[in-house]
Amino acid sequence: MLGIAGIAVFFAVGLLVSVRLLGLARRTRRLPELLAGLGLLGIGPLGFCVLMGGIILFRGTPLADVFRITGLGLQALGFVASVSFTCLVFRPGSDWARALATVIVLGLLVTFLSCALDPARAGGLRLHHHLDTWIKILGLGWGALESLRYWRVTRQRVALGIADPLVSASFLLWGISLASGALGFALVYAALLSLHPGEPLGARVQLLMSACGIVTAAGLYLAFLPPKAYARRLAERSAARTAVA
Amino acid sequence: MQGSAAFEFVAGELERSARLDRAAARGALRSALALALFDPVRVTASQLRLVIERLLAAELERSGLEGADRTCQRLATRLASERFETSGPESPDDVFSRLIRR
Repeated sequence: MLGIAGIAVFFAVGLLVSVRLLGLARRTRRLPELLAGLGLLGIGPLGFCVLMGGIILFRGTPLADVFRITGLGLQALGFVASVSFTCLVFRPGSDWARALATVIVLGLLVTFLSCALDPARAGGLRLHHHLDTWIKILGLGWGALESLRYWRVTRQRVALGIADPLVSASFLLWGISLASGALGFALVYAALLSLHPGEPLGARVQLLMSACGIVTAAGLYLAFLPPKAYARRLAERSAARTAVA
Repeated sequence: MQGSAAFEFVAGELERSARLDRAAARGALRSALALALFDPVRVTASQLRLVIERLLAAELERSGLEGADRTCQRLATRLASERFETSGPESPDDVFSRLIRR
């Protein structure tokens, strides 16, 4: 139950935030909000729900494969949007970032097709399953590093009184959310490596996954839907620090 | 190295209004920008305005200029009245500022 709780919280908050971002994209017609919204929706609520729905509701039936392939596809699209967001927002005009994003997108396409055509039924994980996980961890990890790197820059500007503390904190929170997501993928991967094919995840792994879900959800909520009291506290703290400096 | 349009404008104005030589004016401006981790090549007019208002006066005083506060006020006013092409990419701050519900 505890294992499901954290994931459920992540789904609910992910859905709320992604719907808001997509609504914003509809009004502004800007690419960053569209990519962030699609990324969050595809990786989290939509992709995982379809994947889990197939496993829970249609295990052993032909529909299970349809749900699995659809879920993987939606998740891959989410990762494409998320990596594009990182490249566009944090490294615009950078050749190496564009090359890295292209490699990740091509990797996602190849591993999606391979995973869709060749599920790990009885023979355990194959090369493309390993690659799929590593590419997803790389995509989330890159986004986390870029956001945390930029948070360090804005933190200095906040101290000088020339940056918005709420915006600066959102870089930290976005970075933590992505890092927690990457950690969640890594945990499941590590657990799967130690299990026999078809063996369910242990309670400890489920609990850790749940914790990752809660951290990601909390980060997303505070970053994009900050409560007024939290925003006010950040502003007051920053004003006090600037005054002392 | 050539800075952004806003940087070049402010450096030129600073050179004229504070009667500094080109190297001193650009050096003071670069130091103030470096303090806030801004890149002279990418810095926008709105970012420069904040740097002028908060940091540049101290840099100018350090280099021995009198009336640095007045000079910075004039610079900020001149900068606000200018329009620059905004063809570059949005800064991450601009993007995240929009994504946050206020």
